Amino acid sequence: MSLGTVGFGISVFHQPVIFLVVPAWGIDAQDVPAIGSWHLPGLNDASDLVPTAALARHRLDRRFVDADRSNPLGTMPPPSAPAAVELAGLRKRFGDKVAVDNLWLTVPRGSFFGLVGPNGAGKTTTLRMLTGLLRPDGGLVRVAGADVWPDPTLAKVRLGLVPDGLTVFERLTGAEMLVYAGLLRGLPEDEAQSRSRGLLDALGLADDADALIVDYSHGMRKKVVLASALIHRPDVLVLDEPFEGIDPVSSAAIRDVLHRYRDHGGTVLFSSHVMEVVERLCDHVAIIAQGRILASGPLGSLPAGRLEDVFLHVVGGRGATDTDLSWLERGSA
Amino acid sequence: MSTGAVPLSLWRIVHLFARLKIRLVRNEWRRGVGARVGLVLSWFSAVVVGLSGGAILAAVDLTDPRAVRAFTLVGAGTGLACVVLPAVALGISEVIGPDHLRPFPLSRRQQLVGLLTAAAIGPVPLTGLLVLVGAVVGIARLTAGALPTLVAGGAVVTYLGGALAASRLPSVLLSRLLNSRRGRDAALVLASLLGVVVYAFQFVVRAADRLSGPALVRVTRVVRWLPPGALGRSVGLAAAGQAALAARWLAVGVAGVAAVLVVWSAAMRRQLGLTPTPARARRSRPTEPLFDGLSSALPRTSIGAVAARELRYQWRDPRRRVQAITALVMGLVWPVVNNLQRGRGRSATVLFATAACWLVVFGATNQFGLDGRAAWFDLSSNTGPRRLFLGRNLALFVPGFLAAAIACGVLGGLTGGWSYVPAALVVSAAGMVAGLGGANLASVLAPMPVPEGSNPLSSGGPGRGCLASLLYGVALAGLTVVLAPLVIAVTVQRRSASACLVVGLVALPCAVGVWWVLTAAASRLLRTRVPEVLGAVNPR
Repeated sequence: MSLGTVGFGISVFHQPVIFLVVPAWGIDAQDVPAIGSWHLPGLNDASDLVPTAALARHRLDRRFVDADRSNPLGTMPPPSAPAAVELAGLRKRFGDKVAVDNLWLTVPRGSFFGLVGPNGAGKTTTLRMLTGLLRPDGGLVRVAGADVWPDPTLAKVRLGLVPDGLTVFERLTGAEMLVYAGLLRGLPEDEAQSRSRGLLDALGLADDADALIVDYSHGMRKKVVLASALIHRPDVLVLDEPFEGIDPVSSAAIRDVLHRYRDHGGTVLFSSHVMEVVERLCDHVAIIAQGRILASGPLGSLPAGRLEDVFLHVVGGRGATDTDLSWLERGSA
Repeated sequence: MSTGAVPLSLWRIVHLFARLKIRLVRNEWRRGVGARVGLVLSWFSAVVVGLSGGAILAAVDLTDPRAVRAFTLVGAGTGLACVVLPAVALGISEVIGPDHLRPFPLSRRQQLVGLLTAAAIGPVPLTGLLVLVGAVVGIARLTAGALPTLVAGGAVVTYLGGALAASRLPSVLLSRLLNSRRGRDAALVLASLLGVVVYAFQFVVRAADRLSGPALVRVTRVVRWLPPGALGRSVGLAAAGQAALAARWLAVGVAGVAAVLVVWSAAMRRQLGLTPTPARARRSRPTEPLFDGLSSALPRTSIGAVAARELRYQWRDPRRRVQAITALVMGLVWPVVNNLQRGRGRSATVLFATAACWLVVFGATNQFGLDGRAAWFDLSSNTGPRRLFLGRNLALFVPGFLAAAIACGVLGGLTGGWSYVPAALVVSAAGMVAGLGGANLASVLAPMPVPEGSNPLSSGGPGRGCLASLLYGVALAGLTVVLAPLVIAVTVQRRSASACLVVGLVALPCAVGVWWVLTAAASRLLRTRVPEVLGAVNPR
């Protein structure tokens, strides 16, 4: 991030400023400490929101991922009490493309946390590494106190996942899928059935409980995946673009269920590139672009309705006004 | 607002679609080492086979009087294979299909030319082209005058165009059926049955061996009226120097290919006007979701849940249904036909009923690939790999053993070899248990995607070309090593039912041991390879 972006962040948040001169020769936003109650993680040692100082003491490399075999530094530092998710120095490359680049992030327990970023920012890659579906090249991931890598088993007990682009077993009915998910998570059959009925009711799927998922609409599929992720009452629920392509009715049902879950101590971490959804739901937000967290903090410290402006400036987005699209204008040849 | 579509000449369409297809083929290269190996092997095989076939046709004496009949029969047979084989065995390359053209304002002629151009670029068309060019070269070498060569060239070009259109015809003709989920499921099962028919083709070939000269003449008289038969005949006659007659059969072939193009065009127009229809929702309400019917006896644990889910999938997932049908048919049809052909009821034939089990085991070598985009669900749960394998194996063992039992009953009744039934059942069980252990390991070592496409006649390939076949070959070789001692022991003792039973009874505990060791290895490996397995079965 450029110096100009930092300056804008200061003016937007109307917070007391700790002005930091960013040398033009190389320190980027990830190395810059807090700005008001928001901060740019990595070296922040004063924030009560993102306790990354302990993690920052460790220089992370690939050896951390293989901690059971060759990690000379031991496992991650002791968990910070309020953290539901801690990511430290996370890295992932696909060939020449760096998808996630030394990413640091802490999600407070009991928060509704939005991870926002443009398409291709590294949101899905980050969430997949966080949930044990994708092996990182380096860095540490801890979910509810359990190290995800190298052994994700304990973390899986505490996680619920609603991935984007992946599906559940579509040749099961909705009811069968939920009972299956419950039993797979170790619930007794009676409990799995009772929770399944409750979730189907709450999400408006009761009438279609005995239809095959393959015949469900997009919104119904999202809801059944959400129900499957919730049935074992995880500590942390991770959702990748949960409101993508969802109609307002389904969206409201999902929101209600998520709020109930969070109000009773659950932590929700979800990715999105729709600012309105994030502003409406979240109490904490992190902005990610090019595989790095550019800014994060509580949404309450942000003036209402300004997230999109902040996002565009932090990410460096631009409108289409610079491009010659005169042929789009009526009457042009 | 719209300024209307700029009319594109047909040459421009050819250029655009050729460039698009070449770009798509080239982009395959970026998909990783597996895709690259597959691409190289596919194109290399195409060139080698095409050049070899072309060279043979260019070198042999095509003026032999029997060449006309041979060209007619081979032309007709290859033409029919172009319709059937891509649908039932290889899958039709619909990298660019009618559905992709929906948004574009192209005329019907432009669509046809574009799709034919795209279809003409690929390893199989290249093989056909090289072989047929060899035939034209051979004719040019042997006959005096340019006319026969010209006619043969025209026949070859028409033949290739007709073959390309015909290979796309089944999926378009069946589009109405394929437009619903239930239709696609049914079509996939039908396609698998057609595959069994192709398997049964060996018996037709054996019968053809016994065909006399006059019988072949009668067959030739019929198939020469099919477009590919007429074009083959035209090439044969051109080779014999009968240019006028060759031109007449060329006209017949051209008319036939034109008819195919008209049918294809009309069917495509109909397909483009269709909108997908979802299947009707099921309304039956089971008292106990997941555990009814055959699954009711399963334990209500994670192992039981996995087994119950897998059993449901074997009935509801058309790809698994195809495997089950194939297993039953192969386990039953092959020994029955074999037995009837030999004309004597050999009791030991009952032992062939175990073939159903082998096929179930071979079908289990890519368990996560069949789950595809849903594989993450099991693998991201806290249920350990060993329990996952146990549940899956339980669900595979039960129907596999039932298929073997049915095959045993049928073959026992046919041959009177009831004394072999207990031995066949025990050997089946032992083979399946040991084989499933090997299949578990193979599933972790070489997982491959098995996509469930919207068109069962055009997808389903793992998208890795020859590498997929290579990996399957290695997996099968591994399984063969695991099962070889049992097969050898039973083969040696096949004359005595009681000796076979003893072999089976001794093999059973050994098989359990083998399963235990191999599944433990597979579980250990899976624990550390979840991301790799998921990446392999659901490449991004």
